[in-house]
Amino acid sequence: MIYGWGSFRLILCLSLFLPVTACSSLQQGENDDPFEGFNRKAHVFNQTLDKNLLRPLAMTYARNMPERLQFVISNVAENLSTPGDVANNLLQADLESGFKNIVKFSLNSTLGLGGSVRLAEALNIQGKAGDFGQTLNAWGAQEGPYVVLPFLGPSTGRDTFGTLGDLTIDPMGSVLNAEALAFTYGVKVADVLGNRARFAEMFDSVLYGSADSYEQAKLIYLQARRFELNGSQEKDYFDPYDEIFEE
Amino acid sequence: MTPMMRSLKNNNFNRRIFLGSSAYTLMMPLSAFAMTTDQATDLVVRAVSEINKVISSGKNEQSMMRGFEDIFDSFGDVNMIARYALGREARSLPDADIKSFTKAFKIYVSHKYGSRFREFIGGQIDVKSSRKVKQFFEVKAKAVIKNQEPLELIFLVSDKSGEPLFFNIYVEGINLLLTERSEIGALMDSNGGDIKATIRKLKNFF
Repeated sequence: MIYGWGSFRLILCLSLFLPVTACSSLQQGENDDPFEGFNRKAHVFNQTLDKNLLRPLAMTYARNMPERLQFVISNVAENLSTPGDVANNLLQADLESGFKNIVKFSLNSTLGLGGSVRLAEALNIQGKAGDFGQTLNAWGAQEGPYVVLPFLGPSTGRDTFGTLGDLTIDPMGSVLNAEALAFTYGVKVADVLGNRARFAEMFDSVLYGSADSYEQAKLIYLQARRFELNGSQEKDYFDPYDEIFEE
Repeated sequence: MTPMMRSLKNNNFNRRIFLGSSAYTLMMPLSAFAMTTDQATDLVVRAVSEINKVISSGKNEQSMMRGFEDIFDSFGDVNMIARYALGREARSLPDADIKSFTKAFKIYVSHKYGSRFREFIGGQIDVKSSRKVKQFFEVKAKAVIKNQEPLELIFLVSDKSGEPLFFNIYVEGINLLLTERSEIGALMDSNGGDIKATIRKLKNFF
């Protein structure tokens, strides 16, 4: 993020893409979890981190930050992520979303007071959100194995490269100076805390209320991410009566 | 009335082909596929209107949860969902255990999903579309919630129990059957495969 925006980044991304395709050509079944040993350790690490740091901070944040201000921060965070959306829209040749997101970013950053007001959305100007994992999916990369990243949580082979790719291609990294970047990270951290608090009941029930929180987090993440990328898929439907009648 | 009793009552003569010996399969008619898309839509429209009623009732959590329990009981194939969640272990269990498991499971699921639905307070669920898919029906609905992107809900409906009932729900792609089978399996494992201990755990879940 501290380097200038150059063509070598694209080359880097493309070279990232190759190992993704190469390493995920293996067919991954629903129960295939080749990194389960490592993943479970990372899961416990993340759980400990959540319990002792993220969750308490999030709760303090939600208690002390006025709701309206939380809303503004979440809007600003959303606005700061829009240039990254544009980069991914364009990499996926989705010119319409790319254009809409450029207009959205320009409008919200200026008249929308640095993104604190979602003006463009109110005018229905809004392209698709984008991330590099989504771009890799659009390019035909396979999902790859389930991975739990320390600090970052559930991911897949493809999305791990996606996360790295997003750090590389986010245009904000090259146009902002150190202070602006620090502000950006501050807003993003606050937004993470806000979300952790907002969906506290759901996170808590998965992380601390399940008989096997690792399995639950994995199942829920994979289903939610596939839905986010491809929408609901008829092929994922199954007829449970087949199995019950079998008996 | 339980769905099981209802399906018994609704069975017409030519549907009474019994399949097995356990209480559940005994109740299951081998239905010819006679259901229509309209019937599936109608079921979900009624279920959703009941859910909307509960979330806008402003009642306390306890009565809301009882409301969700009734909805699950009336519109969902609770017996099948509970049995599927138990997985292959269900085969070797006595009917009495399956029955008390089903009862505990019904309350557990209603509370778990009810508390998700409760987050829709001030919102509204609307049925959007239905179509036949494979051997059943897919009914899509949208939950419109304040300050949030709308959520997609999908109900899969079948009449293989003897009447139209939903047998799976997808909330933004996350489906109940798969998620609960994994969770109940883990719960059974953590109780050394003891169904009675698992039932006790489920009863004390909320």
